[in-house]
Amino acid sequence: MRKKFISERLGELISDLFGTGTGWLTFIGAMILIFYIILAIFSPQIAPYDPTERVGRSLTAPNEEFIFGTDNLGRDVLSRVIYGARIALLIAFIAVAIAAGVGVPLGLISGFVGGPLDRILTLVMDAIYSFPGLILAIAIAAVLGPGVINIAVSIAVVYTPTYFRVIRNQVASVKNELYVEAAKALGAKNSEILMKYIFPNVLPSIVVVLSMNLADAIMIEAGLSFLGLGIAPPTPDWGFDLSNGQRFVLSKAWWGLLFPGIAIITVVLGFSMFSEGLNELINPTIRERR
Amino acid sequence: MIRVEGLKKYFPVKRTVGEVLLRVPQRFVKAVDGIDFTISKGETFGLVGESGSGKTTTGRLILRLIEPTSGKIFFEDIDVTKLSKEELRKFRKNMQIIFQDPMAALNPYMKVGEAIKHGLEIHNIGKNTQERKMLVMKMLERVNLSPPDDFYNRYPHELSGGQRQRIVIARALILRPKFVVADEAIAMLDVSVRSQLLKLLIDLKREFDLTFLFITHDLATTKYICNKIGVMYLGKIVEIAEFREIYNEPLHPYTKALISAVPEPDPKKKKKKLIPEGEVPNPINPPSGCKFHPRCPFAMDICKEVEPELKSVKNRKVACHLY
Amino acid sequence: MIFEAKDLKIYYKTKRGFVKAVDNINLTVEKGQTVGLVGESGCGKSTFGQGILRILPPSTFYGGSMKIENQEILGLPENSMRKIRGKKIGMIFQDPMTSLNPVMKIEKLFFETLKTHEPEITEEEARDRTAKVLEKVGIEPERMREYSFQFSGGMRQRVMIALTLVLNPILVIADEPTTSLDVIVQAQIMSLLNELRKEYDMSMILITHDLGVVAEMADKICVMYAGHIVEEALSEDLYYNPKHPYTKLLIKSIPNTNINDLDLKYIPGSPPDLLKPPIGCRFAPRCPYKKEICETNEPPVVKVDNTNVKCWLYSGVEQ
Repeated sequence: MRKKFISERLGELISDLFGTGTGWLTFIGAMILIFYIILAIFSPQIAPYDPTERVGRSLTAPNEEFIFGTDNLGRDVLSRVIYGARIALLIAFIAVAIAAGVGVPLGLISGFVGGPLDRILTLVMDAIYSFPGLILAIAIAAVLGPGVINIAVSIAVVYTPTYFRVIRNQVASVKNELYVEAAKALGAKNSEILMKYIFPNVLPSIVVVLSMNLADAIMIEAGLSFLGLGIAPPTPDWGFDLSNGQRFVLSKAWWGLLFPGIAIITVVLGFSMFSEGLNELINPTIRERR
Repeated sequence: MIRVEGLKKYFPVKRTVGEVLLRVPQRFVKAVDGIDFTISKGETFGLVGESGSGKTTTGRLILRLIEPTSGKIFFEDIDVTKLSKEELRKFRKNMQIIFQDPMAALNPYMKVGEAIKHGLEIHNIGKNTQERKMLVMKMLERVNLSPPDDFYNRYPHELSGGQRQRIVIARALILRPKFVVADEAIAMLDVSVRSQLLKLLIDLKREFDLTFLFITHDLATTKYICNKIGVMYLGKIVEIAEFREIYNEPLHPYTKALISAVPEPDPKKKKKKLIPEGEVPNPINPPSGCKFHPRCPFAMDICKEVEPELKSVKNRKVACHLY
Repeated sequence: MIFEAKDLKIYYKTKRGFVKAVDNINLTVEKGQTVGLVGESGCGKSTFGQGILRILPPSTFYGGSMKIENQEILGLPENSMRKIRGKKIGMIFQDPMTSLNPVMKIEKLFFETLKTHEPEITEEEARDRTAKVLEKVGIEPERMREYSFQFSGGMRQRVMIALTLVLNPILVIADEPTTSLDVIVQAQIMSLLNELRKEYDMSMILITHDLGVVAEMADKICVMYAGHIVEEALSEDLYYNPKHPYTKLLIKSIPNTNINDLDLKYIPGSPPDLLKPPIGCRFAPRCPYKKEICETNEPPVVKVDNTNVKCWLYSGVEQ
């Protein structure tokens, strides 16, 4: 086979993407995500004002100077929304990294080894899983106190069982595939079988769960700070701004509520759309079947 | 070279909660129920039977991919059943398997070249990656996948069924095993591809000086490759003979049935068919006596009660009260 | 004439383009005749079988003409087509497990099937007819109170056959009816089909990859290769005097039980990709008798003796 140019491959990927119904969905999702990631990385350059300083009169309605208006302390809402992306994404990424970092290895081992270890781990994880996510996160966050890492940990605890369950069940079924038996017949060690034959086959589902969980993590983070259990003010945070903004809705200051709200909704939507498409794209056998 | 003695494999049947509470005794599927045979060096032994006969289980038992319930398996005087896990792992170099479904037998996320190379890495054959890659290329060429560069970096789903099976064969043979189990290796392929691969196996057998256990449900293919044939029915060997004997004069009624069931492409030769009634019975509750008696056209009273032993009759061994 | 396909084209859509699975096929089935359609997987034989019933995905392209009892099927609206399926053309599939609804008892399955075509039928009557047809296929009528999963593979295929016969179709399409079964059961089912087709004076298209299976049953055999019918002949002519190189090689490569015939023949290469079939004869890349013209021009169908063959080797014989 002739080596393909990168541009050629990219072209194939894009046509693959749009050949399917979910192609556009994935694309739009990805665009939204890229937009927010750029906002988060370059917030100092993009934001017009310092998000924690009083820059105008309290509760100024959106105008040319303050496009999204100002909040009750005279801070620019636009700048706060831009900086808020930083905290939201940072916490979401850390939380998901911890959850996957714990859940995936445990799931791999539990599914592969089986037996009593598997039963105990499954029981523990199911117990955690049976709690309503937000309530569990609130409880843990209340114990740990505010702070980026603490919030991330409380969210991670909620999602670890998701990874564990998905991976464990997949491993348990992949373990019985013929190619695993073939590897055994070759004389492969258990560790090699796990890493070379089983792990690549469960990896796609990890990636998909990962991107879906990011959306959830952002929601829970916003929920926690909405309830005052999140990052300590005055750090800009969508959830906190949302709760702060809703106090002034009655004084007709709708902008303090609307813009952080839109930010949360769009970023969650972006992640969901992206993960949906990723699911189909990443699996070569699913692609082949079409 | 290979000697199997009293090999048995019983799979426990899962009981329902009710059965456990009612103390229904644990039942077993006697997949392989005490079989003996030997395969001499350079010989191809054909194991023929319908699904549920235990032929596939036998192949896996010999390679110890599953643990036998009892019995001994000798590989050049080494008892395979006594090897420790680590010893067995290293010993696998000597005995390999070719599976029925090549798509399922290949890791979908591993390039086929890497899949073949992995065996070399496991057993430390070849000095470095470069040399191993060379060996893989040579092997690819040998199984008629040329030019090998074209195939090395492909994934299994990018190949046709026949090509995939060639990869599986290459993966098994690159370790230079002495003994190979071919488990329905050509059953899933198309007629024209089937004969191609059968030819390849025959050639490779000569070239690599292999001893084969050829497991199949299709008696007609065995004549091209097998020296000796064992016919299995419900976990037992009912007849073992040199392949010519089996074709020319099958003794066991079941062997006769298998031969006459082979579809005949010659429309003028409307053979008189000896097709037994019914299907293979449930192995959880096999019939008493001779397991074939409910379907056997020659069944006698004794067949219902006494299980026939495998005894020597006319240059072969057959388990039937008729002889 | 029961069934006639003329210049039939069935192309199905994939992401990479149209696969010309059936390309200009002509085939006729007379009353009471069994036609064997033989070919390797991917040659389009199953597409053809399903195409007759028009049960392929809606994006499939059909061309040419297809007639059952002189009624054109192509272009028929879906609700008229539904009346033809089962009632006029019955189908026996390869895998009886997936084609029998597992949550219905056998009697219910038959009742539902009968009711679609004869809305005024009573349960009583349906049960009578079910019992009769089950007996014909060798199943005790009492077993109609069981579910399909309680039957063994061979028994399930018998149920499937009974379910097809209960409507008394004019034409039965059997698509690899014995492929998923064990050898002995395979032989049982084939001999059952053979008896039934005589008894019901049934016309049948038997689709299979196994030339041995059709030779025992078919009056006429069509050999399919890469979307074309390359040879059409009476069973005996085909076996004793094959014309097309593919047929010749195919017959030689079938394992038989003759112990003195130990020479293993095979066809080198593999069938072409039907997304981009060869321009000329589709078998040319594998053909030992290939001429220059074979690679550039599609061969015409010519009649040699009593055989229709699509090959350049015979183009001089008669046009």
